[in-house]
Amino acid sequence: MQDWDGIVAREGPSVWRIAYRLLGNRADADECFQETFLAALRLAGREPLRDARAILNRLAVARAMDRLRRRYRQRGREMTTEWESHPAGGVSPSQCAEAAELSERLRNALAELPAKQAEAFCLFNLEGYSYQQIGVQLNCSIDNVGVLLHRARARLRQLLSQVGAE
Amino acid sequence: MRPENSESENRFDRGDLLNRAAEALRDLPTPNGPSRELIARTQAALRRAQTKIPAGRLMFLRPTLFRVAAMVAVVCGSTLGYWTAARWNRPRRQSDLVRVDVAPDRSKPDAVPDARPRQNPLVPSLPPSHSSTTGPALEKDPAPPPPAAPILADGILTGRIVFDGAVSPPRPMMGVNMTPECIREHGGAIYDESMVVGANGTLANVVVSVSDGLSGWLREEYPPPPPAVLDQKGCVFVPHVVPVMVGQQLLIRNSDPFLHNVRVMAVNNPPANLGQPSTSESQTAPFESPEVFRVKCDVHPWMQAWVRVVDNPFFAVTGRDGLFTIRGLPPGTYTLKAWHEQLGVKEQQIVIVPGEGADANFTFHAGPR
Repeated sequence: MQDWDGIVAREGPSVWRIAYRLLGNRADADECFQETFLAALRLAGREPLRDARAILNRLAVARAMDRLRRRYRQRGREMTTEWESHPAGGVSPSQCAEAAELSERLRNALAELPAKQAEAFCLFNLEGYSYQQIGVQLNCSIDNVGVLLHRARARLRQLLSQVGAE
Repeated sequence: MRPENSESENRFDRGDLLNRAAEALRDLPTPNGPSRELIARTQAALRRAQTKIPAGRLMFLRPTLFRVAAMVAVVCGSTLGYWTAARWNRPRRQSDLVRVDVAPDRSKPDAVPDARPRQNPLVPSLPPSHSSTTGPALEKDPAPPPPAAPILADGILTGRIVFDGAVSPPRPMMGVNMTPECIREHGGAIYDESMVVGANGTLANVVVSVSDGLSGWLREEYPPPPPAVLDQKGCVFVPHVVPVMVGQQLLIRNSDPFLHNVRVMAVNNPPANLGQPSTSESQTAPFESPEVFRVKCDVHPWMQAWVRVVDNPFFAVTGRDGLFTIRGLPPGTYTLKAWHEQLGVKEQQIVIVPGEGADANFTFHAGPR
């Protein structure tokens, strides 16, 4: 039996950070946080959790991407970033606005990627996972991870340049 | 001094936008982490969910067991199906064709004693070491003598195929008018060849072959004949029906000055899809199993021919006069099979007596096969 209270207390901040970073607002991050742990519990019912942190992070990315896609389809909340997330000291307002704009563009672009490509990109570029770790999490070979990342980057560049050209 | 907003726009265009966007998202500071209330709420939800886990596990086990059972059923079913299909569709094996210790059929007075059945009369006599009467001598010599010209035995089987029924006039094929090059090459309209009936009801394009009674005959003693030729001339396959032997090849030729695409629709033999530019030739792989299949052209949909693969060299196809001749049959009792693409199959028992020929006439009737 897993000590879920301890796991939530220990891994909660990491999971919440991932969800917040990808979703950009607290309400969505909170819901994604709960969904992630419930998904992990269901997963633990089927197979033992060998590396709880890695699995939780991956589940958090997957759940956050699901929400991002739903949001992208609804197109109702284009700008959901909260200003409290932006640093106040040492950064000019223009830099702050630029970072917010870039982040939001990248979120929208990620929502258009296939799920596996988006997860591989987030785990590699945002969470700093290695190819091998991503391969274990996504259940694919290292070569396949490379292909996923390459395709994800190519598509994201295309999407970002389209947005920039509009 | 440049205004800040224009500087910001320029920075968007510099460098790799993707890397900068990824950096911006990665470095986005998170406010305070999850609230204590959220953590407590999640822990409570997990505890509630954990109490339901045993039931959930059972629920999960059910589809697992179902999946395993379904997989086992599929594997067993496919294995059984494959085994059954292999038994029913298998080509005649060499062991089926070799008869070493078969007693003559005494129940039939007309049956000829097994005088020479083990030697194919179409090939010259072989030294004793090659004779099939000695079982182990079937092993091949390091340097077997090349096959000589066939020696025709007395067993000449002739016959005539007639059709009993009303004959409708030949039907012009549809779609030919859209291809003037075909009309030009053919020299006029192209007619359906599925029922070619000559004077007095003689039936063409019937393949007559020996289907049973050749248990003493050795296929190894008769090399496959040279490839049979199927020509495409004037947007028609010539001949319309081609009988070939197992081991023989089919040389498909395009004599027209334009493209044909030949599709060999075999099932028990290797199929083929051959694009044939003007005046070219292609050769199929040797046929492996007895079968009847169509050959058609994808470019000209009315073009089709039939290939009948027979597992012995004793076959013939009728012309417009309905006549056929099969030479070299050893004395014995055989089952003769006549096949027509529209009228189906008819069988007949024949007896070849040494020194004499035999006649076999078939009559096909109109109606379902």
